[in-house]
Amino acid sequence: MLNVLVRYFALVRYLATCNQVCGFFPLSGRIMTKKHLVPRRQFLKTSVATGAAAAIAPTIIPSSAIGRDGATPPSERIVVGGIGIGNRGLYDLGCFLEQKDVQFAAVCDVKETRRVLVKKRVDELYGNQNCDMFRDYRELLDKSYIDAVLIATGPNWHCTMSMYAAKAGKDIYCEKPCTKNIEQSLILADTIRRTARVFQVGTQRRNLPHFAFACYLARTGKLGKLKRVYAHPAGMRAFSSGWLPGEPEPAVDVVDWDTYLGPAAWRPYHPTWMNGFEFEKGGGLVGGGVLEWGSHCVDLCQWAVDDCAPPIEYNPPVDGEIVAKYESGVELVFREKNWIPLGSCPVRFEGETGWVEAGDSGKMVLSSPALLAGRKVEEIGDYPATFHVRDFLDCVKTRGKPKGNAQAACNAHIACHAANIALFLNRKVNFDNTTHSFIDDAEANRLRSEALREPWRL
Amino acid sequence: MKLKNTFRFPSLVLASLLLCSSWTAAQVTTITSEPELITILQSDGAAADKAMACKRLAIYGSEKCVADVGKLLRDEQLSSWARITLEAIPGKESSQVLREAADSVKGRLLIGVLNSIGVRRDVDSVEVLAKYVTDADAGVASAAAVALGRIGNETSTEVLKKSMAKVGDEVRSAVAEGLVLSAEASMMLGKLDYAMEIYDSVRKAKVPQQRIVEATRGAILSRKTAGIPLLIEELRAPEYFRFQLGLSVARELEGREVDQALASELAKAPADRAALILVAMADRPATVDVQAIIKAIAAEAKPVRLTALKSLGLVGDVECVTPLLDACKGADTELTDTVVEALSKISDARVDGELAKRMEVANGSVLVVLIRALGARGVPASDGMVKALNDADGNVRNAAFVALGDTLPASKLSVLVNQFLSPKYAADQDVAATSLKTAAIRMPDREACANELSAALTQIKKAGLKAKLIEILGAVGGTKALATVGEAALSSEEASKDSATKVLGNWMTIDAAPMLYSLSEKMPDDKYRVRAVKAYLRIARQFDMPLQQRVSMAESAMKIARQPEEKKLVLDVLKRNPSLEMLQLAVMFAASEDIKAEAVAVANELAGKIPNQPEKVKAILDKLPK
Repeated sequence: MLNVLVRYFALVRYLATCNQVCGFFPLSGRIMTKKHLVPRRQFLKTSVATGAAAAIAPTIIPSSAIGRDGATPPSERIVVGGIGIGNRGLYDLGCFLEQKDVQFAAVCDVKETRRVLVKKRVDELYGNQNCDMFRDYRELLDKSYIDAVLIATGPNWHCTMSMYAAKAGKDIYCEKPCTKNIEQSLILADTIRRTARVFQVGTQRRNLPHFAFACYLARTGKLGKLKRVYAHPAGMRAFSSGWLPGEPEPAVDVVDWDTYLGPAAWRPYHPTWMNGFEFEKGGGLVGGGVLEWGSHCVDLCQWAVDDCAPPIEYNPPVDGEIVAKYESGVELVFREKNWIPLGSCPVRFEGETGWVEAGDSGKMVLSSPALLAGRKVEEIGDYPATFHVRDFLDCVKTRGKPKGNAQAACNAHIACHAANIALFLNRKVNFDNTTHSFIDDAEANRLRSEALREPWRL
Repeated sequence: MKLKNTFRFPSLVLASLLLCSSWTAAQVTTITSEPELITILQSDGAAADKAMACKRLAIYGSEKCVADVGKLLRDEQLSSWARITLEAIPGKESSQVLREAADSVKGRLLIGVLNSIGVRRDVDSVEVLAKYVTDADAGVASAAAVALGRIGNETSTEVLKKSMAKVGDEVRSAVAEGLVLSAEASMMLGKLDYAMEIYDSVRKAKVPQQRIVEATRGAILSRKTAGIPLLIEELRAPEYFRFQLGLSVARELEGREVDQALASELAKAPADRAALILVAMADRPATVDVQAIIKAIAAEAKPVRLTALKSLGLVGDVECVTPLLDACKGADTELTDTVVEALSKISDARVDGELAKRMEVANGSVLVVLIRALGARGVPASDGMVKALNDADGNVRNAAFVALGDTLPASKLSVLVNQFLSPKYAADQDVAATSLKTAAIRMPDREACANELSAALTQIKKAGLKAKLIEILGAVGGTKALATVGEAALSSEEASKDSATKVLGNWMTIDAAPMLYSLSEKMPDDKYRVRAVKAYLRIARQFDMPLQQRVSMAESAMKIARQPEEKKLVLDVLKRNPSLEMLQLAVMFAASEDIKAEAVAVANELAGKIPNQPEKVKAILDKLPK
């Protein structure tokens, strides 16, 4: 602790020597209540573990300029609220809490147990009782002291909640998959542009250096002319959402069923639906692996093809593979078989002169060591999602585009949804990226979107 | 066009199902026949079945089903399902049904209907929506306003404009949202003046801050370069959210004039904003004013200087080499590191040659920066770089070692080998070793590399140096390296044995197993032999291999295992791989008195984990010693 304080005061002295630096980039668009100003000592307790992160974070602005050196005055902190913080959300929350310029101020959940759990964790960390709890997300979004929201609800809510947050003027870190269908993907990207918000989808592999390097090789022609990119979404299947016989609803304070159901079509309460991770994941088509893992590994393939528009042709599955084709002729292969042994979420990019594979094991395999051009595989190993969160927070301050921005997410999700539609209809579908619709295919086009339950809208 | 697993109900079966209403929702999800689905809607069946029928009709329905679906719009449970169908089916019939429903439902159901009208962008519904935009129910009025915005034609826009003055605060936000949507639609059609007018009207209205943000963004973009003064106004605004908006729009607005304006503003902006303006400028690589960024290197505030340097790494070219090098002539390591980072990132390929040329005549700290940048850029090592290994300045030598580790080609590996064997300066021994290791593991032909390193090993007299080279060979891997390290493990020198057995304990390929087995047979009974045995067992336990090979390794391992702890590790191999073969092995090991109890326990544990072969398992277990 002494070291931290010494470091803190040294930095204060240093910053004071820089012209006006102490007032750098205040997020003064909001009014902070006294309650939400965490005492400096308590705040520093949360800031110790970020040194390495700051050193590697892929930003072009120096950390001293955006208040990450340990002396983050309250006016420069990003005040974050969390919505739907379950299993994955708790991991994300940990990443946010590690950042010294973040103050987590409020939690919203339809489940009482989760609200209480998150508040306890946050309050214990800050040493106070200040974390606000809400059952209704609208109350959280109304709070002017919130700058950004972490949305980690089930996929049923991701897009709709992001829309409401953007329209309320909040920047958004949203878990994936962040849309339920093609239309939502397009509206999400449009809305984020229109509202001038910063949006990051939880595709943290965009900030993992070995994946980034593999994509760089593909994107910059180091593999020769790109021929084929492989994604490995386990569990490719598509089927409609359903309705189970009703059971007695819990009290609204315990589980707010109506809000949980949210934009999904009405059905009676049943405990099965309370698995938010699975509930209505793909809307009309509950996309298994194609959407669940595809939003990661297809997203990486999209990055490898320089985030171009999604493929224009999707074939039905043959021997565990859905082959899609980009306008450039490059093939995107959704592969369930012949799994590359590099842990979960492996990808492979093949060019005319070389290939590269990368996966969650943190390892890369290359057709030639020369592709490393002086870099070492060991150095390209993985690191945690904290850096994806850091990328988001830096962009909240710079107003730049994070790596998992809404347009990139839109393209990757459209590719997954279109593949799901080919899977569901069990036939080839052709997609027009100008009209964002399927060509001469009424059935496929009707699966592009789905009505939201009243009163919600995008 | 049928689903592969489509289950079509024969009419007779369907009729009987209708009579008893006994089909399940799951069954309905396989029907593709519109008449059959309509029959379900018309029946007294369960709401669940009707919901699923709506989902199916969204794909397979036509105008024929619309009337029956429309009836469900009044049903609180099924309205949302019905709208899934009605939003999906094209044609006027669906729109008509929604319009009619708007007059007969209230509250949330009405909001849903109005939302669907908006999604369908039904131009014939403007009149209906106009009626509701001033509704007393703020939710209904807001839904109508946004739906009008989605339609986005001049008629709907005029309705929204007029309603702005008539509605309360809550609805006014939705009206503004509708107007911004309308303006965006006009922009898409090229009606920029009309869009501008709409945006300006929203900016003047008493609406929430976020609506002002959206309208101001549109007001700037719709004016194209004529929007620059407005952009500058935002960048200078005292309210921080407006400055942030300026930063966002600065990235969107096209035209070289924008870059010039940003450059001008950069010079005037207070330090706390200048760095962020620089970041925005660098996000416009096609037209960015690089000279303005170069000028910012001399800014008084260090964060601005650092941001300028980093920005040059993203958008600079060969012309930036001089100003970058000039910027790091002081003793500030943060600045120097940032310059190196910038020089290493500039995409202009001419920078490679420029840096190499300057390296030939540079010295001191500038030479260090040049070497580091060349190394980071992966520029193949030049003679000058090799020469720097003997420079009198330790910082220069250190930078050269690091850079050569990353860039030295295979043909020149001997340079680092020789430096490792006998560096000109003793203080360079460690960095020479690190550099050699870095270079060695990236050599394309690792067998050739291992041959070269193995030959060098024979020349070394110092025990510590031998140990280091053995470590490097371990990192290289491959057949030759394995053989050399194996020989070293049997040497008479403690340091070599120690290093070699440690390296073998972390060997990453399965081909080390025979070597380790052989070593454990040949070595005296000391700690190095224990390491060899454990290394063999590590491979048997952790590496991927066919079952039969693992069984064979486990059986062999028991022959070289002498300590109880080692034998337990052998049993652990069995436990991790439940199979009949491993069970047989456990039974066999149970014959040895010293591990009988543990082997019996493992056999029983394995027996419980082997599925579907109870008779074979029992037959093997029967052989367990009593």
